[in-house]
Amino acid sequence: MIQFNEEAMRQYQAILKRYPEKRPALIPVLILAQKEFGWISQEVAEYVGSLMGYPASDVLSVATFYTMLRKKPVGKYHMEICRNVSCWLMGTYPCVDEIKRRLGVEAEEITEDGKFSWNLTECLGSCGTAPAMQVGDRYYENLTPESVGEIIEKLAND
Amino acid sequence: MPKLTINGQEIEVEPGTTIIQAAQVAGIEIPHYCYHPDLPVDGNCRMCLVEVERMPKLAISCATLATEGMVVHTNNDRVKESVRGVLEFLLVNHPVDCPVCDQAGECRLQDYYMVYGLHTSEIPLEMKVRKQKVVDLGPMVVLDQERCVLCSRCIRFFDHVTHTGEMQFFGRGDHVAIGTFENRPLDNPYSGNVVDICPVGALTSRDFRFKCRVWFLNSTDSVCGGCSTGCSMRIDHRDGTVFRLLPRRNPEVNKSWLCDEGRMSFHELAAGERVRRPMIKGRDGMQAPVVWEEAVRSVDSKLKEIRDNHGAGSILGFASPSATNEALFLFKQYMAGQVGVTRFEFRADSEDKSVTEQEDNILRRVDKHPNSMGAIKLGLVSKEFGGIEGAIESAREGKLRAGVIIYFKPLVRRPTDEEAESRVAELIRAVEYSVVLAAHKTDWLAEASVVLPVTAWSEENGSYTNYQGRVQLARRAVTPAGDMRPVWQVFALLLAVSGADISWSTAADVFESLTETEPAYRGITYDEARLPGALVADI
Ligand code: SF4
Ligand code: SF4
Ligand code: FES
Repeated sequence: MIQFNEEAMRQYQAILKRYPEKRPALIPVLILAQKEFGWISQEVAEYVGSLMGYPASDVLSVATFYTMLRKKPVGKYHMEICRNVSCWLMGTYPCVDEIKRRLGVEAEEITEDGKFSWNLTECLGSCGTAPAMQVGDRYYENLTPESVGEIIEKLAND
Repeated sequence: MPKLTINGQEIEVEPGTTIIQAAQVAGIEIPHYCYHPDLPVDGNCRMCLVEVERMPKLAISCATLATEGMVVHTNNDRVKESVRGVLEFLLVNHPVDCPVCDQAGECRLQDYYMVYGLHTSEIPLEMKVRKQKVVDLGPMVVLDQERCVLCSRCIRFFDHVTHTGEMQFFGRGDHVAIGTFENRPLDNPYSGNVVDICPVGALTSRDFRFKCRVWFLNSTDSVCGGCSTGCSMRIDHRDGTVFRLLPRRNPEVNKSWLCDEGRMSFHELAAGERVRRPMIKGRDGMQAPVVWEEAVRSVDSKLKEIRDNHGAGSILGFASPSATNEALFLFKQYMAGQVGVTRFEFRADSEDKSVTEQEDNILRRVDKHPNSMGAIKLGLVSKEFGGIEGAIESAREGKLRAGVIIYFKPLVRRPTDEEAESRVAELIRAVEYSVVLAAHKTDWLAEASVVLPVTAWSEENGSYTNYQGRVQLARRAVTPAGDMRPVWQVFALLLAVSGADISWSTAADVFESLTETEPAYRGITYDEARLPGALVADI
């Protein structure tokens, strides 16, 4: 059985305190769970439900509504590249080709070593520095196929 | 009280009434999927759009309150066109598998399509979003996700009625699918209700599906025989076979719900062999069939002989809490009025379970008989007696010599049933002379002096008094094969041979006598005993 560790538990308690009722805390708790466990598996949904006193079906319903709550495992570094107009015009797809060439996996697939996965995403709000990509909490901007290659190399050695 | 006009018809309604409800009062039907009178309003399907004058846009009638002076149109071109559009969207991904869908014939998609739709689909079949079909959701329900119109009635039922929350929508956009977590089975004793409230063929009954096309079924109004709650229900049957039981909406008793056990109780009735002919035990100790005439004459004279020799106190009248009010009334008329019996009992369950005790806080009650309250109100219990155990005791001591016993097996079974049944068997063994009116065969029936075959629940007209003291009518739906008679008729025959100067030809006649004679039932009419039923006096 999965479970929040002590630190995550502290964060969970802190999230609950932010809201007058429990229900609105569900989404931040799911985000926390995603950080802890990588993605919202059925097991995670059930755990969050039992923690907060909601049926597992209820939790999974919320999780499946929000695309940023992941229902599939991802690599250690999940690269999300913006495909909306500005980035697309400024060259998202040459960067995507470079990613595919280097990693050898399609969107939503994970590399064999478990380190990388990638996907296209909607607007990252970074049009001024397009094309942009998000990896975890970090933004990479003004991408070119070369800079993407460097980023991958750097992360691979991390 | 607000007065409003709907389609030119002026009506006055209670404050707090929504337009859809007001329209219903006025006899105007507004199409709807998500609205259900016994669930919280959700307003998600948009089928119930109506035009309200001076409102800029069409309004959903399920969530708009009727107010003073409102002028509503439910069927002008603007409304019809909008509803047609909503329906078209709902059908975009629908698989249109009506020929193999068990809901066909009672499907709101089919019905409304005929009235509002009649459009051709813009979406080729291969482009429709596919979802899971034939998902097993436990003993009562089978799910087809593709047929769902996402009305959320089932979700709201499990959220607000059973509070178990099993069903939910998963995903978003046109990939939203209804279901349970990991397709787990529905785990509550009321799950069958979602089959009734699902307006389409997404949730169908595991028990009923593919047994019969619904348009071949006949429906008969009845009352559940499964416990003392006495839910209003409808028996759907064809050619003498019961196919399913459905709730009739009764706001005073069961709203729109039935428990799963009650819903399935007709299988218990069909299970087991029936008693088909009157039998009398001969000198050799073996029972042999006789005609009714002979049976009732013999019973009447034998009972009176015992009374004359040993006093009326040596005879016990053992009624059944599953018999109708009419049956119990004539039983009492004969036993007390003609034979002079004063010792009555009706419970084979030793604990004195109170009729009103709840088994859960939704519908079910501990007492698994539909008419215990009737037996109580008719006074068929003698306090000083010590129940059936006391009766057995007094028979062993030789004080009790004869018993007239009505025995119906409970339609909703509990582990204690066998014990209760064995007490009845013991009683029969303990008395010298026993007359048993029974519907189903049991091993111990062979030990009775006389066995009289009677019709059971669903096979006769009659009324039942539920735990609230509410008298409700149940109609005969099917007729069993054999020489059975309703219990009331058996006692009507006995009353006739005994020389009573009153006769009854129908259950309705008996009901009339009952309401003239019995103080608790005084003044109740047959009409009042239909939905929602009439309350007996507190006597
Ligand atoms: S399964 Fe039926 S009741 Fe449930 S949301 Fe779908 S259409 Fe409504
Ligand atoms: S609660 Fe009782 S009366 Fe109602 S359906 Fe169930 S068994 Fe029948
Ligand atoms: S019935 Fe009104 S929106 Fe569904």
